[in-house]
Amino acid sequence: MKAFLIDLKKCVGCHDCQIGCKDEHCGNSWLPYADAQPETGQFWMKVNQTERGRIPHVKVSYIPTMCNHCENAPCMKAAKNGAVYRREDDLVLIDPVKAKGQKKIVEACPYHAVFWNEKLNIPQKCTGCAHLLDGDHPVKVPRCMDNCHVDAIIFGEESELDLEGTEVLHPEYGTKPRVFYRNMPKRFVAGTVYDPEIKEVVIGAKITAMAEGVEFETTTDAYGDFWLWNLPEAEGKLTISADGKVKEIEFSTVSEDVGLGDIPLA
Amino acid sequence: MVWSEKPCNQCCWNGGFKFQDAMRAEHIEFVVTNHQWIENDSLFGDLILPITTCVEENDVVGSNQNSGAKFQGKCAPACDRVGESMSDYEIGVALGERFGVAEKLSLGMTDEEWFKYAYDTNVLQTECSWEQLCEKGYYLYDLADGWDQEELPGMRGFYLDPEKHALDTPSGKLEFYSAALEEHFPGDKERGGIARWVSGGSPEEGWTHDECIGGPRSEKYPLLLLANPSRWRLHVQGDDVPWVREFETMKVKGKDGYLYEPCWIHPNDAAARGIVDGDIVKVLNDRGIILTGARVSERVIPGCVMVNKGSRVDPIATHIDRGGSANLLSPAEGISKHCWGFAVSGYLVEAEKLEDAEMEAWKQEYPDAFAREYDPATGVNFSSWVIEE
Ligand code: SF4
Ligand code: SF4
Ligand code: SF4
Repeated sequence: MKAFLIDLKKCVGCHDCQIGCKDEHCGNSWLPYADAQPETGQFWMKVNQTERGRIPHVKVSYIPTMCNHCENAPCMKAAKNGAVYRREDDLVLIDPVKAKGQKKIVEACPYHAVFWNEKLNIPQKCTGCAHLLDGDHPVKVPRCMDNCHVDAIIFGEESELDLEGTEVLHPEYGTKPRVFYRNMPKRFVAGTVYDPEIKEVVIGAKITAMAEGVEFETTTDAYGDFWLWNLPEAEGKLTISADGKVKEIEFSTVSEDVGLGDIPLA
Repeated sequence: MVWSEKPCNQCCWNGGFKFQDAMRAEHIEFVVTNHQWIENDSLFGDLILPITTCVEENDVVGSNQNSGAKFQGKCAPACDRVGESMSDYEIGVALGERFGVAEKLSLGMTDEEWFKYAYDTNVLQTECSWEQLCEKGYYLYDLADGWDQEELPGMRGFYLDPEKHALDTPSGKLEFYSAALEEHFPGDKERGGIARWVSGGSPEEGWTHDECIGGPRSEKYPLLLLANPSRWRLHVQGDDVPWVREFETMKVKGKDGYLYEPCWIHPNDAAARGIVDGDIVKVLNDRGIILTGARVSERVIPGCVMVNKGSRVDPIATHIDRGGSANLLSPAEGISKHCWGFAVSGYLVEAEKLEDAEMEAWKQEYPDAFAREYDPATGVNFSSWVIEE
């Protein structure tokens, strides 16, 4: 039983996995595993990015996304005559011959991981690079994994992967994905604390936040900055204190990360 | 006559629009460029000579000062010559023959003799024989014995003992005040003896530049354009790679389907100008207009816009560029009165949403510019300009 493990803390958003996947499959037919991917328009591997926070407290998160090789794969259920099948190693593949004309397979995937090839009249997606795993190729692992120079993408025997604390994308879809993510970004609250009287940042101010009954704590650094990481999606209250001065700020991380900018502590 | 072997001045260097004017000047009767795929300045060429890429050439190569691993290579061609292509050097020699001065360039040596000459004058010969180099094709230099123990990295020696490990400056110390600059180049307003913030001003007052927020010109052009090198190109190279053009931040798809070079703008600056994400935006100053696609983002500081330099030019008319090549808007002047560097990292502009009426007017006035073949996957390319082969 194989699985992918992607560590988002390692990922620098270089897109080399996306390019590697294209290099492997665009214009290359790997029948019977998959037919050639068109030059543009399909993303069997796609690096998505999210911009978070407000200037000057801004972070960009990258998430490489691919077919999740789901245990309960809706694409399999939507396919007629076994056009989508599960291999012994649990990779989910689309048979390019049997799948001809079956547009329903594209629509069935809640992750939008299947693409329609207009010219060949077939649905296409990530094959887990099964042709590399089975064949006599110099590269014996999925190409995206081979291309990632920081080892953010690992493919292997599920029982041998350390999946403790990992998450999957949209567990609520109920498809049981087999692509696991480590260090999925959680919400942050950040700001810069300054003393308006002397026009200097406040170093070492104590920052506490209460959200969902849990307390988060940090202090401001040499630039007066603080970052509270790994907050839940919730309403919360922030308390800033230094030199007997106290300030309270209400915040909400329900829909986004919070960059509070410059905060006067009077 | 102008002959350019590196026809990319308008995008890689400063004063791009001025360069365009210069190339179109009446007294330049003929322009020749060497290029493989009609890029940028090649558009001015009356004659474009087909040139080899490095993989077609028999040549020697070496690491530059920035490379971590020092090497020398002697490379045979990796493929046959494409079409009638020749190297810059071969063209030079062939032309020299025509004028009877070929020997001045070749010094009477064949390619192989040149390579051997380079080898004979290189430290490489102390480590690797000529035969070895020819056979293996490359050589990686040995590291000096004890390189990781004896040598002091960077400025460590100066830090430990400033007298013994003096710096390369006249005083041997860190100089906050440069007596040499003051002595040799007095009255330089931008580069004086002490480095300090200046915002520039008019040439009448002796300034070379007026390109900073706070300077007089910023009243009309209040945004500082940051022309950083792109994350997804090398200067102008690689603006036409289909797989890269699909990256979310490489281009912005305009409502007309054209992939515009992104103009990163802060939400506050965008809102003040009625610009929303994805709009076609005119970035302009007194030098001209480039068209870009708005990427409204917290990643750029208010007061600045970022348009990566090096997007391929796609002229609509003189001083109007659809390709969004940022350095067209940059100043032609050097860095200061006495310092000829080019000021292409930042310059003043204004950003405006392009109204449909203005685009329509351009389409009426310059139909040819809009009739060119355009494939979003590669952008402006060979087939945009070559109508018949
Ligand atoms: S190659 Fe690795 S580091 Fe680069 S985007 Fe993909 S996962 Fe991230
Ligand atoms: S991610 Fe989509 S295509 Fe892949 S197995 Fe799951 S449902 Fe099927
Ligand atoms: S496993 Fe292969 S097909 Fe799937 S995303 Fe990676 S490179 Fe692409």
